[in-house]
Amino acid sequence: MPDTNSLHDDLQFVRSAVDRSRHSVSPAVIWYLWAAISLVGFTLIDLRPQLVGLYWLVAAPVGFILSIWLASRTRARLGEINRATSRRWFEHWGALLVAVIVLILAGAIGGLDGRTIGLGAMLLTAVAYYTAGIHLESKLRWIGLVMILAVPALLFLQRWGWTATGVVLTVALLLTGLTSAREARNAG
Amino acid sequence: MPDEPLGIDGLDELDKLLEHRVRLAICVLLSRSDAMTFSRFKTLLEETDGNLGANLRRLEEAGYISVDKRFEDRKPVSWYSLTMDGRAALKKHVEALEALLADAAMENNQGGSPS
Repeated sequence: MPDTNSLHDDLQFVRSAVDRSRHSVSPAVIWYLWAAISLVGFTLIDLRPQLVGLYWLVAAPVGFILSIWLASRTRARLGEINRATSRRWFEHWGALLVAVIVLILAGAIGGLDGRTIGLGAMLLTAVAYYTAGIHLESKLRWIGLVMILAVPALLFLQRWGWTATGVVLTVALLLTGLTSAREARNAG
Repeated sequence: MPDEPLGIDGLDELDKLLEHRVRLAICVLLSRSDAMTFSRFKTLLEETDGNLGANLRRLEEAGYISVDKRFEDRKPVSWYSLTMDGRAALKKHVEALEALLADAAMENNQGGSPS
């Protein structure tokens, strides 16, 4: 006949296993990828503004597809498939991708100027990262906060403001990647 | 917590297979994911290969889990999923556990000992 202590121990065993499974993190390589994409994309705004729209129209979807592939490969190597979680990540970042593309296309047909598009895309991405921190992975909040703080700074910086923002964002993404790598190592 | 036996009421509702904590943990983990590999279970449950393998086999024989054996990077990998029968058994077992624990808590509060 089971007793309360042994039942408590058994349930604690199950809970510990579930807690360990919750500590799965996004692959570090995805954040390194977006660090590289962002550094180039933001620097282009100051150096070659005429190429920025085309760059993001290509880099954003390619980065998105690569991120899906990298995440899927990492989960398969980890040994766990969770379609509901994958769908949440896909929908979250897919919505941002669509919104940014619409913004860029609005600029292409003459509806918005480059600066407005840039600031709008920054704010959209900031909110996307912050809400990802709430619903997907908590450390992403910091990237959202960095980007939100960068928007008013950009209104006052005359030269190299976008490059500076790109560097700060790149550092934030690299740190996120390093943190993910460390958490993955610790989780075994 | 006092070392008291639980009352016999409701014990029959517990699933005999899932009374083993490793098998219960396997089914709970699979209820939260679509599939997991042997090595993932080993990481999460911190069990030996032999013990884990034996428990997975028992669950497979009972029809609670299904296994899909593949080759990935030229290595054999077994992916496990919870079947409909397994999901139903887990649900019934968890409900029985909840009822038992609620009864035990009520009897503790009333100061009586379970029969």
